[in-house]
Amino acid sequence: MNHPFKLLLIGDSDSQLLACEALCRFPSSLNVQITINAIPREGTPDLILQRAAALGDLWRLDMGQLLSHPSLHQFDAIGVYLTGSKISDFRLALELMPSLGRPLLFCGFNGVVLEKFMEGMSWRLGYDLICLSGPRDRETLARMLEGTPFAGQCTVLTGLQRQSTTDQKFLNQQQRRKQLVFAEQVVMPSNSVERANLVRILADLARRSPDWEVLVKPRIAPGESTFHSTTNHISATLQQTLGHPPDNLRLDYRPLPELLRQSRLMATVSSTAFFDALDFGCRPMVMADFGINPTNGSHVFAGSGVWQCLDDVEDLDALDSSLPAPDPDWLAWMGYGTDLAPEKLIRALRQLQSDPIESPLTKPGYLSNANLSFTQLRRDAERAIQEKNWNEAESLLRLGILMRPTHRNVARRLRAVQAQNRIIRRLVLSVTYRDVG
Amino acid sequence: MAEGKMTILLVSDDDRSALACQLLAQQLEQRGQTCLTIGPALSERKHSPLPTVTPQIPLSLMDLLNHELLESASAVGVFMRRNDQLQHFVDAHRELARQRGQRAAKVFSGPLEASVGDNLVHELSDRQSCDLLVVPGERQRKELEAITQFWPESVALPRIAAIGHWFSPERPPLGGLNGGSPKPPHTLLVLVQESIPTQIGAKAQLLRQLIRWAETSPEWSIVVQRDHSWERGQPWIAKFKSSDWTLPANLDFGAPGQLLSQLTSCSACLSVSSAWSLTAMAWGRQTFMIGDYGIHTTQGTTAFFGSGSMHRLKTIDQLDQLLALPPVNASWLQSMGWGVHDGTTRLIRCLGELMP
Repeated sequence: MNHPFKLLLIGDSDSQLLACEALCRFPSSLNVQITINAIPREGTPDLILQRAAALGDLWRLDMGQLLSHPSLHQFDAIGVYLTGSKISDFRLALELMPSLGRPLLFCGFNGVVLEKFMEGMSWRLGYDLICLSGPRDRETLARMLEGTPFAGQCTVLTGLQRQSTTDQKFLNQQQRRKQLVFAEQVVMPSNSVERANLVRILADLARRSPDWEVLVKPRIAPGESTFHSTTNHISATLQQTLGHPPDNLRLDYRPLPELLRQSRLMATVSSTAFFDALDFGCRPMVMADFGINPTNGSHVFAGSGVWQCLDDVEDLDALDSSLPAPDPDWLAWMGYGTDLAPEKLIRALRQLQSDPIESPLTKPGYLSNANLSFTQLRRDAERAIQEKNWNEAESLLRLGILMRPTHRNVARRLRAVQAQNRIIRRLVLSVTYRDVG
Repeated sequence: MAEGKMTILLVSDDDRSALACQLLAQQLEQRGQTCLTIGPALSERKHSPLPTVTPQIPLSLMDLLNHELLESASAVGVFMRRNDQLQHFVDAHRELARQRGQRAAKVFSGPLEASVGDNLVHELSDRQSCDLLVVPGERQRKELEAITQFWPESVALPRIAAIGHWFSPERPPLGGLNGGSPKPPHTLLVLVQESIPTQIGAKAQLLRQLIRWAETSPEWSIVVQRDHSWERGQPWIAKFKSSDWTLPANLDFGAPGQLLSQLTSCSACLSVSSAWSLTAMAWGRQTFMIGDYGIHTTQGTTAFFGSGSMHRLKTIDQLDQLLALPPVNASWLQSMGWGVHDGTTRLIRCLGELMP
């Protein structure tokens, strides 16, 4: 283990880059040399890029530049943290490289998977190794793959702990400020009525607890972007719901770790930040105010042991004194509080280097999303456009949007083929043309 | 009252659920239970692909609340296409029973298909207030038990039981089994869905593919059958004008009411994600699930991951190739509910155990 283990991690949105950052907590004895490639993307917070740069070398190459980079084959392993179809595209592209010396490929998820696990996994099948959070994910995957040719897919559990906190000393509960941090999620809840209700519940709680501060930590600052698209920033919801919020409720844009280090309590609906709170010694609770609703991810967090209605809480002093610790069995099932850690990833990769496992064979009748090539889809759409087969082109482009919702050129080509006016359609098609090979 | 005689009401609200309730009522009655099917008849403005089934009592779910039938019922099975009234019905029924000093009938419900993943979680969430949730297979039961294993006791949670494919006929009529070796002349049954594939233009694209196949395989007949009810005169493809299409003589749209007989007589079946595809598989029909739309909850295709029957359209040039495709993954089919052969007995036992 003397030679360094060269690791390249690729991420695009802030969530994916945070997932990469969370992995980079390898003991020095493993001698891991880290390079992170943050795909250039409008709206990625500078702070996230600064944090990525602190972990090793930071590259800013787009996918084409990256795939043709002369040093790519010198890595021992490449971790791909991109949106679904891009994960599959990257693997397909890299498999065109000669197999001798191809880096090992692995991928994973950015935090707790609340929905679309099967879709997400279907894009990832065929990777040399897939990182999962804990037994919950592994059991779900086993049910999905049982009796299929994919059943031998290699996985490793890397846990949900995302912060290296072993060397840090935390304030004890009495030393912490009387603060409750609410970690906002961009799309949970997505319903505007429920989001307004959420803000109202926090404001009422703040009014009932005048010697506490309720800090709402927005997922992103206005103008920044994240993995999930958003139409209404929490600051707008606050304004629209409350007008003037109580003095002791405010938005706080400081980094979440900073807030969690100094606060006594943290509340969420279903955010992975729940586990960050535990990392920083802050006591988390889960809002039960919206009931069990799969669209909010509450079906995952209801078993946490700290699932309570904030609207029913007398005040934050009462919550502070009565809130139990999360259920350790649930934590372990999710992938927290046990020995799961990123070093298991490196050990699994080294094992695969010395003892490679054959990728699951493709077998007729067993398709996954990894068999669908986004690029091929775009080529087919362009062929349909050339043939003036507008219906077919529209259908293929709509499928493209389903596979990659944020792809701008596909969205523009779709709008072009939808134009009813022939001259406008021709003009827009001409302007939006890109060579897709 | 374990395994004693019960009076069970089965409530439906459309053609599919009415057929399911009738099938379940027949099974329950064979085991000595008394059943009544309840629900509106199919609107005369609508066609159904299924045989006409008229519930015995023409009442809606909410009408049942104040009806004497409910007072004498041991259990009520609610199998509605729309579940938005279910929670309200359960709450109102229990409250009325409490105020009258009566015992509330046990309410059970479940989906009329074998779902997995996100769809399955939503099916539980929609029916959380029920006493019993019935799902088709052990796969569904295990998945839900895993999801709910840590939920607090304060959360209402129905008991969960796997009772198989009670909502479709277990086998074709006598003489309809072909042992997996269909004989010519061959028919391809295409089960098309109301809003899947979701892309605009995809239905027309599929129809063009079917026309190509009909032309290259003139010895085959292709029947395009909707798997859902539809307004009379409403084409499957919106704005479809028959004058815009030239259909080969061996391709046509299926007649209303014939889906089950077509499943019996076809040599092969093709669909994106119709729930009736499972019946086709279980009846030994060569089944081709269209994989071109990927594994997506919105396309209904997540349920068929692992079926071993998912292929790209381009793999077929001539329809005879359909007959050479590998068979369905039998262990997957069993886990999705076809392995449960004593579903009605399990249901009676569960209901009996729920009674005081």
